[in-house]
Amino acid sequence: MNMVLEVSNLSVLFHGSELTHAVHEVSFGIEKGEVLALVGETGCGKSVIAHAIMSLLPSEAEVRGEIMFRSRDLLRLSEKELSAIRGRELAIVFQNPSLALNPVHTIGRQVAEPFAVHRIMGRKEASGRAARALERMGFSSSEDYMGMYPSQCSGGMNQRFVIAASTILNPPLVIADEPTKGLDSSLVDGVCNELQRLVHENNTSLLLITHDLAVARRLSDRIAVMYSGEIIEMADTEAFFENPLHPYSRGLLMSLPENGFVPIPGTSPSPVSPPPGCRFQPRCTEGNRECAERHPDLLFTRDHYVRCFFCH
Amino acid sequence: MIHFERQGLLWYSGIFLLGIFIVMAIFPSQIAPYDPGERFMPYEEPESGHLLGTNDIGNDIFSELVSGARISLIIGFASAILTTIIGLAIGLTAGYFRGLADEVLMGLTDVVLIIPKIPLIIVLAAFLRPGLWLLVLVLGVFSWESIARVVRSKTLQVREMGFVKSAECMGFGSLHIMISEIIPNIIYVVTPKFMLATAAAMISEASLSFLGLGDPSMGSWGNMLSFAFSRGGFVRDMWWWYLPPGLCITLCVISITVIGFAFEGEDEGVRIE
Repeated sequence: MNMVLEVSNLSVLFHGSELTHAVHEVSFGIEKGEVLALVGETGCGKSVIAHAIMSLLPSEAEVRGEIMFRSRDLLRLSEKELSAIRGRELAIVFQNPSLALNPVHTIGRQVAEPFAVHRIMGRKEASGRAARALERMGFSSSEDYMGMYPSQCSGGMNQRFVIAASTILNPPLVIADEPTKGLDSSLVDGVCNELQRLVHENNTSLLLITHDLAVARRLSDRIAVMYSGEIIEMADTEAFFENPLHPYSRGLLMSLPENGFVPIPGTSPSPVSPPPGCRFQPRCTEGNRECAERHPDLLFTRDHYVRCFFCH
Repeated sequence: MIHFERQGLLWYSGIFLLGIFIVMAIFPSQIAPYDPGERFMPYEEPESGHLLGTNDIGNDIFSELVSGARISLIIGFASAILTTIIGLAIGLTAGYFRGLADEVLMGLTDVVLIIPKIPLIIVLAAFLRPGLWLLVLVLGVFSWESIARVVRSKTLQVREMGFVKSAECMGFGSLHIMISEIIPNIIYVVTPKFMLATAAAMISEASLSFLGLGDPSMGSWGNMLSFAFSRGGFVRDMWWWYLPPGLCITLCVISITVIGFAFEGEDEGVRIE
């Protein structure tokens, strides 16, 4: 076992006018070179986990638990120690590429920036490396793109520039927060290829946060399904897609267009006052009284970790 | 970033006027027929071979006018540069770090904002007998508040944008983010402010000098007005003595303001969506 990232009992609470439980006791690990997909609907807390790992949460957020990254607890590092890790060892790709690039700088400068900032090499050498990185990404005439501004490029191109910039220092762990959101299918393809190439060439670990199940299936080795701030099922990707155990996971797969577009009835519970028992119980077709009263644990059965009384 | 063809006549005339003054400031000896210290017959009229006559001690007024451009422009631009640097530093720090830094710096800004500028400078001038650079310092140190406020509010807006977040995630330091990610995105609100600060500093200098509170040996346009007033220029109705420096101050300030407005109007097109 060569764990790059190990998250244990991570809880995130937001102290606002009401106390919001965004993430509740989440634990998972990522091995070297492994791709873990974190899937779930909007508001289930998957992006909050990414932000907690990057220490980007606002000050009113309370983070409990442990995030061990290469045997350091990220939650207990100073801002300065974090700055040294971010970019070099830990990178994040945000969901909106056009906003993640500075509109007033050229692409070349922004892709080369990490070298210059971390004082690894001079600007000239750095821009040579940036040009090579862009060539590897399939931009054949990288010189043309180096001088362009983000507003002159399409969203898919910008997303690949963002990936190039954030991974140019070969960090061992990359977090991709909805990297394909808002892109059309051919661009999704390009971004997926890029991430796949990254994982294969550099043996990078990837935490893929997405609500696109097709992307998750294509890229990930393991998949974790989140619902209302909890992981409700975690399994190897193939095993999960062949035989999802949790009623919510089954509902998710049934709601895909190729499986008939059957929606899950109801809406997800409010994170301010989640149901006392199983959080999916109000929408579950198989629920009984026990589900409404007792909260199920995440237990290992039939090659899956699953949080449901009926599956154990 | 300025598209010249989109700017109207106003922009061109502003540039043209300021250009004339800048040429006067850089090459006074090539333009002025005499040294401003050279003495001729006092109180000569314009017809006498001196383009604008001579003053009470026989200096050629046109030559004085030409060499005054350098003083006025130096005071205007130097104190505006100082103003802008202080305003940018304070506004950026307050807006980027927020919290305590913001409270303290904006409190300071409010305090400086309620100090009445001209009376304070008059008091300082009375005690310190200011020379050129002291005047620059005083004008610069007491007029940065509006730049600081504008920069702070713009920084608050820009710091929440994705590229600042992603720069933080790449491990860039705060100073780097402020200088190379935020400043290029807010510079368009600073340039017009810079031009207006230049114009304001020139007017302040002229009023102080006119009141006799500047350095009388500085030879600025304000000094010329002051001498014209106190040494008989107005009484004798010598318009060629008091009118030219007043016109120069007015035209110079107008040209700078017009250019500032042009910057402001132009940059509306390049704001970040």
